[in-house]
Amino acid sequence: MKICVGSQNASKINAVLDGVKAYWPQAQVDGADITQTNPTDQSMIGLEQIMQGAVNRARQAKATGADLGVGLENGLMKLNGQWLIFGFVAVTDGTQEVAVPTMGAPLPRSWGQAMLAGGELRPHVIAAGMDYDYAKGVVGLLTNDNVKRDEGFAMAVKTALAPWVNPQVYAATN
Amino acid sequence: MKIIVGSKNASKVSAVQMAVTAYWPEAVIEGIEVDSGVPAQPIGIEQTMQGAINRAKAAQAAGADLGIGLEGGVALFDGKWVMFSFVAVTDGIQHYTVPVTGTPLPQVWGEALSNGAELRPYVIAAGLPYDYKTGVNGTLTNQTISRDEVFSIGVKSALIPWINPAPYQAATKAA
Repeated sequence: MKICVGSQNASKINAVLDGVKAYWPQAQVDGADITQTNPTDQSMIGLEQIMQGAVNRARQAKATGADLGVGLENGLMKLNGQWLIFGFVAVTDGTQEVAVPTMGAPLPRSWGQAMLAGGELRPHVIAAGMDYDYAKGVVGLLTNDNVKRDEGFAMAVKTALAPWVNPQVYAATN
Repeated sequence: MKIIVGSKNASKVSAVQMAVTAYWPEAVIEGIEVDSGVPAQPIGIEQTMQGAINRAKAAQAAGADLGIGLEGGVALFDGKWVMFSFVAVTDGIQHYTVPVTGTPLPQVWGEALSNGAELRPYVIAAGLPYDYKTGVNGTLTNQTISRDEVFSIGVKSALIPWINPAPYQAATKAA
């Protein structure tokens, strides 16, 4: 089993590795340098854009010759008047494709606006009197490390792989 | 700290317990029956989110410091049925809602659910163990995740504004 992640971000690759090894301990997991789905480097905004980002990454990763391509995308969404940071995980084998939302986290309003404007969160974190530790990620920071940086992604990788873990159930007649 | 969950469902209450204990080991948690105000099987993001909010508000109004609502729903993402949920938390003044990890469903199951049918017979017909405790997401992932775990991580996240209130109160403060 060869699995390719549509990103070379170490933290995303780790999240996929975590999810994949729960099913296939022998699987080979690599990250691919894919065409930027988001060349401006700004945050993805809204559910559609985030989902499409994950799908594009998964498809390009699959096209490198892997059995499965996995795409992870994070972004911002305004829901019920509040900013959320959340993501999508997409998986494709070239024929079948799924995309699932990951756990979201509420973001302080000014942080959401800063990200929307393409700004860094670091000064906002420091202004709020918190330690900025990149390794913990925003979610780790805000939950006092009760949710690890990539826990949300790793959990969604496990669920998104379900159609390949139990393929007979996902066959059309079931 | 008194926390009320807008449901008597044992799995939902225990997921809240798991999450809350991580922050406030002394908190008192109970579940009460409330009206979700949405269909028994919510469809789409709006309905699912609204169900969670209604449950949280009703729970808080029953006399809690924090009311928590959990609602499971189904929606089509990328043309496929996905089962997911929302967690809402309110203290009566501010409320926050977060989506929680989705699980892809076999298309036929998704259609059945969205038509108000139960999944149990489908799970059994597929030759899979039906275990209410771990949920359908547990069944479909060979128990590498469980319903409780999925809900619990969502509750931990939705409680953030009460764990680290400072940045959420300084609404207009910019660095």
